[in-house]
Amino acid sequence: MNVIRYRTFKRGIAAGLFVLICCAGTVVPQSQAAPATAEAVPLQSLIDATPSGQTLVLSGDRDYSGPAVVSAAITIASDGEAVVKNDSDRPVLTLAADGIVLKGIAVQDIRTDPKKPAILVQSNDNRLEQLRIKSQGGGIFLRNANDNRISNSRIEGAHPEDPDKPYSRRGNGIDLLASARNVIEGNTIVHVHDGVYAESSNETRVRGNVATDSRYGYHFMFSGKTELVDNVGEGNVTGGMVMSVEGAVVKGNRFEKQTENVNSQGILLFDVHRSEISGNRVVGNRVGLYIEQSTENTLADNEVVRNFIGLQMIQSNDNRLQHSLFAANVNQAQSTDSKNNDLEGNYWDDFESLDTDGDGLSDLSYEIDPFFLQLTADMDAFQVFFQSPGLPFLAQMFHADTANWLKDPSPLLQPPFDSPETEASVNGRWTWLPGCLLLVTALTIIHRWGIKKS
Amino acid sequence: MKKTLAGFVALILTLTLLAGCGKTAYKPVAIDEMVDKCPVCNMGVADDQFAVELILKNKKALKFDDLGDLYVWREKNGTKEIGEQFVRDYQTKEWVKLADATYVYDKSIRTPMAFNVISFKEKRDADAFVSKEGKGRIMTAEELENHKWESNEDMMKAMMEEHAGEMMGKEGDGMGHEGAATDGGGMNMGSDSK
Repeated sequence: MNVIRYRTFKRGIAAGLFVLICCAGTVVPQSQAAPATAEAVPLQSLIDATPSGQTLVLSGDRDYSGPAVVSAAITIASDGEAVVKNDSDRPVLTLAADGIVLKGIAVQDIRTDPKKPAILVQSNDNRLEQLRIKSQGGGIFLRNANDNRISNSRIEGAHPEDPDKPYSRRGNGIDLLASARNVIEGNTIVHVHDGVYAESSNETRVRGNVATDSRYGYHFMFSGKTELVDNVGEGNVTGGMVMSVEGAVVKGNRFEKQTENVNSQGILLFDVHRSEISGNRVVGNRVGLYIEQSTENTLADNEVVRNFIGLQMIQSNDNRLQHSLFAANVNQAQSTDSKNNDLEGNYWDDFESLDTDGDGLSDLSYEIDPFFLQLTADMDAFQVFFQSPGLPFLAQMFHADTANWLKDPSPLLQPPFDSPETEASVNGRWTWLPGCLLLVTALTIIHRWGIKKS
Repeated sequence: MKKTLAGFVALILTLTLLAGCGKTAYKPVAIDEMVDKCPVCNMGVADDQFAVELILKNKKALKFDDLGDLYVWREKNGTKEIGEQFVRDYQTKEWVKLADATYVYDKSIRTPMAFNVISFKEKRDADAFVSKEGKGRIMTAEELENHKWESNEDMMKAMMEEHAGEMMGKEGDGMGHEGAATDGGGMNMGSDSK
């Protein structure tokens, strides 16, 4: 085993410094004799001393200081969870060579500029795993960086104690610009600006992440063939913000409780074309699915429940919407300036259906009146008339041309899949029990104490 | 009688003066990130140097996250109802009337909706920005009128062009992929649909 000796140490490194060096791919455990000095060890010289293809193992019980630029294909890991900090104006870590692996380290950045990341990736084929990033600015930024993989990491943003601070004071968790085919998988991102932001980054694959308490959970712009699959978003302004995108797949995501902001949505599609939005669950949002200026998309098997407005469609044409479940929304759907949208076989829980031929599809069609949306388009304050008794009357008066209304000609009689919202009858089996208990208690009280007093 | 006449004259004078004062002055309205949403693209409006706003004649303020979206709105709704337009200085974020500001355009300048135009209160600041960055085209407010407002979607278009074969048969509504993807102005998919 060769031990590589450092020719030069940078000034300021404590004399008792122990560094773990590995050779020929094997890791030599660090000596236990390392004194626990409070002073952070500059990381750059350790990185520079690690030859390409080797592993630099950081000690879990001490701090390291950035900024550091990694310019060879090395692996940086930790035997515990080493903490790398920064007090300069540059990113804590900058990846400048292809094929770098970062694993199991914590990165802390105290700079407050949202445009500056804790980790900057400028190269290809890197793997970032099990990182824990705490940043007052941005998290991981990818710039002209392709085929990287960021997985099983946690990113925490700024000001968790002060949720009313403007969103623009926080940075994005993972921010991609002009970077293609990157995989972002299994990460947890909390309290940032946008959890994952991809701009001009084609074929970005975002799978199985959790983004909470941020502005937008997942935000795509100007990116083709992006994938947003099996992610979760909670308590964001908008869960999935998909804008100016073609050929995207938004599938199997769950967006709940996007309600705190006046502009909240579960999933927003703006200027989206030829994309697939299927199997998503949007629950308890202000608007479940918001679709504007989007064409030729397929929306299928979505579960839209307990939202204020289930589906809102504006200036969108030629979309297909099928086999979805709309239940317990205050307003199932609204649509304006949209035409040729093909609704087929969806389940609407407020619909009184009629099936004469027994094919499971209603012979009466479900029609959606855009009256309320048109009324409130110019005067937001008119929203106060929501479900006021006069409105249905007015809506009927203006019930003129229904040709461009959103219509489901063949709504389902039964929900297409199980949902907690449609299982009321099953749960109802036991509702008599508390009732009986109450009755017995009341009778007991009256009998014991009520009647005797006279 | 004389007293009444004097009173009447005084009243007329006051009214005239008041009418003079009454020339509508439009003031910029502060951005509230919790509430303000761009009426064009639906994105939240950040309280930053890219925010712009229109004050309509009925004093309603429309706030946009990107100067380009303001022009997209004008394209659709016309300028008849607009009382005043404000942009912000790139450095100080101070509100400036749109007509008084100087603009810099370059495809590499990042703005929220990728229209790539930023605004400066003073022309010399714009000049300084261009000479410092070594790129960018200086524009006046009049030149903005003739600017071709398009989001920078080159990256996506180049890729969709590559995959054009696979997408065949799914074409429609003026979203065709004809034309070069790499031309300087980019194609006009975005502006078509807006």
